Amino acid sequence: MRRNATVLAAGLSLAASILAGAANAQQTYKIGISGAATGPASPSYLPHIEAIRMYLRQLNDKGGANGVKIDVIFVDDKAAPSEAASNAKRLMDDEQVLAVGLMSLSSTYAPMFQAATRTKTPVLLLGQAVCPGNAAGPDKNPLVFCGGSTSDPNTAGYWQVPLVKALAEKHGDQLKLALVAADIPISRQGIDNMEQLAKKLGIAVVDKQALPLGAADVSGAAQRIIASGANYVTSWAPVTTAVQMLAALRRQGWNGWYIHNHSAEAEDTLRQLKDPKLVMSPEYAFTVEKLPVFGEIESAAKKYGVTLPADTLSLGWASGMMLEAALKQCGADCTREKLATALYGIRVDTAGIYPDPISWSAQSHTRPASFTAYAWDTKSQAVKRITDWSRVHGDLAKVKVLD
Amino acid sequence: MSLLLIIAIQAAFYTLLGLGYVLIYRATRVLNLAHGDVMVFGAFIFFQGLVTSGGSVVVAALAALTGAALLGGLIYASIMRPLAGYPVAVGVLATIALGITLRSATTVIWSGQTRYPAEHVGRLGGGFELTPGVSVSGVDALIILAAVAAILGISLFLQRAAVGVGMRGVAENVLLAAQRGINIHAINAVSWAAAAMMATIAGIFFSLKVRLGPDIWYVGLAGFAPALIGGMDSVRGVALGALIVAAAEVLASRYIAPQVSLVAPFLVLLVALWLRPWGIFGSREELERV
Repeated sequence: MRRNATVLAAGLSLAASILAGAANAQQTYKIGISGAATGPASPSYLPHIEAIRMYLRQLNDKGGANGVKIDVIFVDDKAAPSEAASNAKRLMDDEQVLAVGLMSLSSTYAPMFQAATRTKTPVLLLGQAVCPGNAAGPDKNPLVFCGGSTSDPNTAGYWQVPLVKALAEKHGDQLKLALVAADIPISRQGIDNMEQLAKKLGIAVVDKQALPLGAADVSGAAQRIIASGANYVTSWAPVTTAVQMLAALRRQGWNGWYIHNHSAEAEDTLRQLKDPKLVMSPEYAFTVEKLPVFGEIESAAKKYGVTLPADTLSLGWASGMMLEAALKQCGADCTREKLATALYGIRVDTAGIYPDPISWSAQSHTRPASFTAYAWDTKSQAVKRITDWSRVHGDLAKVKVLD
Repeated sequence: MSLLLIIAIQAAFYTLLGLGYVLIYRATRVLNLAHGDVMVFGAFIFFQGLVTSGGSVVVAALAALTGAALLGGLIYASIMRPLAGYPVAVGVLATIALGITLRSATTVIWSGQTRYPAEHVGRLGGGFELTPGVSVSGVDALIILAAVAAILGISLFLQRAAVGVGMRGVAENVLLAAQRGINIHAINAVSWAAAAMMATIAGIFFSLKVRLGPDIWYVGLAGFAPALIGGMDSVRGVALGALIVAAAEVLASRYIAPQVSLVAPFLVLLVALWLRPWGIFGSREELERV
């Protein structure tokens, strides 16, 4: 009798602990983040990963979203499709996360998107993850939402090509343009589109090339650009590609303008290189704008021991804001289906990091895109904005270069 | 800048990298796949030295080379020496683990932020004219000088210095060298230290030319093909291998497409291995032993 009672008590306590475990599981939002934390592309992605980790840690310290803590599982994909595939399986099948934040190269998208469709898991492209070209079209993946700083490759060209032209006009140069991409599909698509737009604007494109990400040296490619007579180069690629090409060009005595899109390290790169003819054209504000949110980021970085500069952390911070808003909208009993629906209803104000509030609709999963440009100012020895902001809607932007 | 000069600079850089592979292979028959990570670690010590010393290149370079030598010796003493007697593949696998560990350590110590050491040593960046219309930057000139000095210096060291003669002895026949009283572990540790110094020199130059970050370890792998083509146990072979690889890369990039530049050295390597598997100056006996 006594033995039976012991067995019963043990069974009850086991059942209670299982039930308690299940209840606990419902008391956290489980979110997966897959990103390029290591590998050749990591400088463009690691700061965002650090920043979103920091933001969510702070959010949890404040009690979470809807009073529910966020359990974040971070996995490194090394910007490799095979790693992304195994990350997708782990996060969506094994861990059963509510959503995945993807912070990596476009080459990792296919396996992640396929798994998202199969498991009906929303995927948010965050940090600097590039928005796919079809995100505003009818053939978009209904579960993929663009929250990253980089609008699709087609949109970027509508700003960057007129910017190049405006700069050339401002400086009285006869424009000969070379286009540089990284040898990845979406980057090549970006400069293909720029080539078309350049033709529309009557700009002479004298060279176009895609650089392999793992190249130790690109001096030969740089020599080709110099031989083509280009006085302006523009790239739509990871910052590592731009810096490598710019360094190779400068070493060979080229003194033209280099206009890059942007990256996590865009502002830091301008500050460190101090090259007055290097222009970054981001879709977000640099810290030289002195927004209060940058102070918040700096404070959080100090608190959580993150040693990266605030300007490299702002995009990951804004990504955290998006996740928080989505989870708040989804409610305490959030499921994958509810979250996918909730993403349509949110409007995220990123305190000026992005000039426009983030919102998505059933028609478009892109983020409203406004652009500007920054360069190193030798007089003030500081990074300075050199154009007005311009909203791009699929028409060539009107660029006003500031004095 | 002329194509020939670009090829020469690139070849010099690959020579510096390739020498590290050769020095370790000669001593221990291990292909060091952590070479790129050692390169990055040493370059970061250089950067730290620059920041700490207020931009003194000499102080930073001395700190980096000393740190690299200690690191190389430590790697041998703590990781490679205990593996002596195991198949060579075990040692190679250990270098993969070592590379990952060093990469993580670099990120933890210096963060993932990209650095530009050239910012602290602007005077090296200025170019000078060799002939009318052909100029070379200070860093590029130093790379060529360093590669020439390294080839001559290492060759002389192996011929004249007692330790160098010991290294040759170990490279030719470990057992016999041990029986003749040569401290093979000390010789191997010196080889690892010297290879780490070569990697660091290459890393310093790359970081001055382009950038520095934990992710640039892959650049170190670029020295592998030249070493294989020239002969894994040949110091002078590295220079020729580097010249062939650099020419293939630069010409492919300039006249075909930059994407081909990554493949071109390996196509050359395949042909070279097919014609002469032990490398241009490599020893046939060594290959058979492998």
